[in-house]
Amino acid sequence: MQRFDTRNLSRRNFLKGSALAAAGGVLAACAPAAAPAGEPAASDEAAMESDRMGGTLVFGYPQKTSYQDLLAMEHNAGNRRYYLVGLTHNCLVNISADYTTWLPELAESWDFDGNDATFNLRQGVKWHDGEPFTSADVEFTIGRLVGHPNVNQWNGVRHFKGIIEGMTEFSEGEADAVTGISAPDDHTIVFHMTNPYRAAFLEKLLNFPIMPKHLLSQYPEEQWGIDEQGQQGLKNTPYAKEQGIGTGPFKVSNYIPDQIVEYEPFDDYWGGKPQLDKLAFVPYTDQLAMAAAVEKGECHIAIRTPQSEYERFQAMDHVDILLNHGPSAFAWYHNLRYVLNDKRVRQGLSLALDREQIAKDFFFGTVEGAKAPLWYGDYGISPDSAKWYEYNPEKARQLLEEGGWDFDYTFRLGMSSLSATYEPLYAMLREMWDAVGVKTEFHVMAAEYTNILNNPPHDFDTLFSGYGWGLTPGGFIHNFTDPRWGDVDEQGVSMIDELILVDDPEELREGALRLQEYAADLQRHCVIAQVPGIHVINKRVQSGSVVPVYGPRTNWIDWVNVYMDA
Amino acid sequence: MSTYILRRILLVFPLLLGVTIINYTIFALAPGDPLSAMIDPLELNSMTEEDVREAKEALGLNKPIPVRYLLWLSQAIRGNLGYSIWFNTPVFDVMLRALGNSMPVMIFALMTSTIAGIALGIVSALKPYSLLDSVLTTFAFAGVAVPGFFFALLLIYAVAIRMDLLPTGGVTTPGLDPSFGDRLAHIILPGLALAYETTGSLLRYTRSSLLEVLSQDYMTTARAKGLVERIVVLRHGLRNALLPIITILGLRLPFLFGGAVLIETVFNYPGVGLTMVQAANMRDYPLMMGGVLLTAILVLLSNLLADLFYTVADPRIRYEEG
Repeated sequence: MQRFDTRNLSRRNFLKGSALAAAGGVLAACAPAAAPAGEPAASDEAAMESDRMGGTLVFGYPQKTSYQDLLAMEHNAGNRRYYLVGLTHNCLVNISADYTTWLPELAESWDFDGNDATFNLRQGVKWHDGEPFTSADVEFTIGRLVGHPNVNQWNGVRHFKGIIEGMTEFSEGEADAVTGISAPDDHTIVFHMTNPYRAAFLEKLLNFPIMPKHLLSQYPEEQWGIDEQGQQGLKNTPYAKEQGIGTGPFKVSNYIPDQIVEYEPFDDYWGGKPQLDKLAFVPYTDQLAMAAAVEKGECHIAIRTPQSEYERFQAMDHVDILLNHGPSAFAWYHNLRYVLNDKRVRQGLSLALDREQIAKDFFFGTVEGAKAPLWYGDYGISPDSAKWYEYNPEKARQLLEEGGWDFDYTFRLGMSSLSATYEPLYAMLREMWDAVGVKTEFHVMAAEYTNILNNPPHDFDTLFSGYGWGLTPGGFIHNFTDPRWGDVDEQGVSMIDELILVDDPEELREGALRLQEYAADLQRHCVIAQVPGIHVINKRVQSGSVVPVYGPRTNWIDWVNVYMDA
Repeated sequence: MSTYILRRILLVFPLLLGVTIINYTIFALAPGDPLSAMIDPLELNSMTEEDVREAKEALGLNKPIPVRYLLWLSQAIRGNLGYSIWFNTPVFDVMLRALGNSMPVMIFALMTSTIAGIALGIVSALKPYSLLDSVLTTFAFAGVAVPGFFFALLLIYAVAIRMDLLPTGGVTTPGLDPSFGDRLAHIILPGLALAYETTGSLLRYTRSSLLEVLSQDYMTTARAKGLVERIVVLRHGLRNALLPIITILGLRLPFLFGGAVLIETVFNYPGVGLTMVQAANMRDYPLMMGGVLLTAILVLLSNLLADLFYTVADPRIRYEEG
């Protein structure tokens, strides 16, 4: 038997030591990280900048998962793409928050001449590290980075394939460079396109913040791709993980994935130094946690808050609520290979849905039920002449019968998951279809969602998904078809082919409306309701315009002039 | 004793091996993969079957499960837990960051629940069937019965919003210079939410164990010797009542990790629990394995620590050699 040696360590001392160690653990863990040497504390900095309005603005956004890096080149829909990158980087062009006016950003002006688009770049623009911005950065970003064969092929480049000359060949490794981009001087960039695209091309440019060539080109191109660990080389760079250097109004001062991104104003921003002392972006995994932070005043702007909390926010005196829904909707994508070949059946299914009730009961009146892709006021189009699908169960039943619907058939509703959030919506939709004699069942794909969708034939009849369209008539028209879930048939595609090259805004609007009417009549997808954008803004936030939207690169917040009222 | 500890530590390795094999297999057999979780549904239309196949190959998802496991294991035993597919960062770094956030809360919760649970348990045992005992018993049962996340929501509403005493969540206050007080303020509410259930359990165990001990003959002897009641209860009673409590404490650490999954979500607190939820959502196998490994190690270590504490609490316990 080996005895516990009490000569060196008594039980009393052992217990004392354990308690001290535990307390020490808490103290050590709570100890703040040392401030970087040579950097002034926030309070000192604020004092030095007494001429500015200042303040710290905390911006909350719902995010289930972490985004990996500060590299802004990917075209992934989502918050990082839409919100964070807009602070640190600029695109060539921008668009007004109401989607009606193209605005200059890094390009001061642009001209179209046949298949060529010439952009005159802003002079005197600096990167956050002080280096000058030139046309070489644009050439590098669009001509090298976006389409490079080593970089993820499903992101980004698809926007320019077949549009910029030589992009397809370069992205597929058949050419060393993109032939359709040239930089005559430091402040001019020319795109040679395959067709005389206009608004559609500008909209594509909205997706691509310009990256600093001098920083990213130092990483060898052969290391840009996925390594043996399965990691993308560019995402493992200090640029992507720490710096995020751009030309935007704010520069990254602290980034902890999934926890916080803190920014400080960029002194040399071409649009003027921002008023804020600090800006913090905080992701919220749980939207209720975000609502609590808003109520407490810890979070000053919260975007895309849950509709279930709408009334709660309305009761708060210290916040304003802004409804600004993005250009996307919930919709059923019909699988035309199965039971939905007859247009009358699809129209009948659409007429069976009481969208007013859905908007009222599920979306708490925050959005209107959608009957067609475009909403009233979008692009200045009046949708009065579009084909609308008002709730009409009798007519729905009649069309289903005329279309030969088999009322013994069970309609299979495909969806990614049965989340608690959307379960009431699914239940309402099923009830409405049941009321006209259409039996339904769920086909939940869960994590196999992508795999199933990529491996046809599918054994569901319709798919519940988000539906996004362009920000402008040109973009709307260009985004209207896709290879698998086409909104229109061949006749519609020929309409698109004609409209995509139109330059006149009025003509584009009319064309978009005609397309909408045509697509609404076809009913290849059944739009239900706009994706709600319920944004909450603390009244301490002061600025000329605060218009949060869920869309890329709009001038949604005046980041230069926004400040916090003490 | 040292041989015993060494043997227990050596036993950890086959146990960990078993844990990793089982978990890796379960993760790999579960539907979905990191690729399907990575892609925005709006991007789906642009991907061809060839794109999917190439992307899977690049991520190493096309190899058989045993091969993937052995590759992971061969790296893990060299201290390389691999890269998190989603964070694009070594798993070790991700877990370290998450653990750095979670540990203060865990330690706070463990200390608070231990001190409060034992202290209230003693009070309850000394006044059995009194009004105070009934109140404490109700408090304890509520702790066990009320879900942690619900208690967390109550704390947020009452303490953070209504009383405006503490922040609603997060690790630090954005924009403020780092400070001990700010960090501590952010761990109190999640710590209390995590501690409540353990406090209730400990209270009940301490009460019942102490009640049993207080009726023993040697307690009467101690009193007969003329010892003051405080010494009788704490030195003679509590020490003998501690053994089942130590067992409970040893088992609480894994429960704390389990509870942290919900609590950290409610408080938007990016610790181990929240990281594991995200890893599961994104089918980030390396990160999930890292989390499982970490939790398994902590469970085994906490059990070992509990065994060591037995010898401290009860001098009669000796671990035989050979």
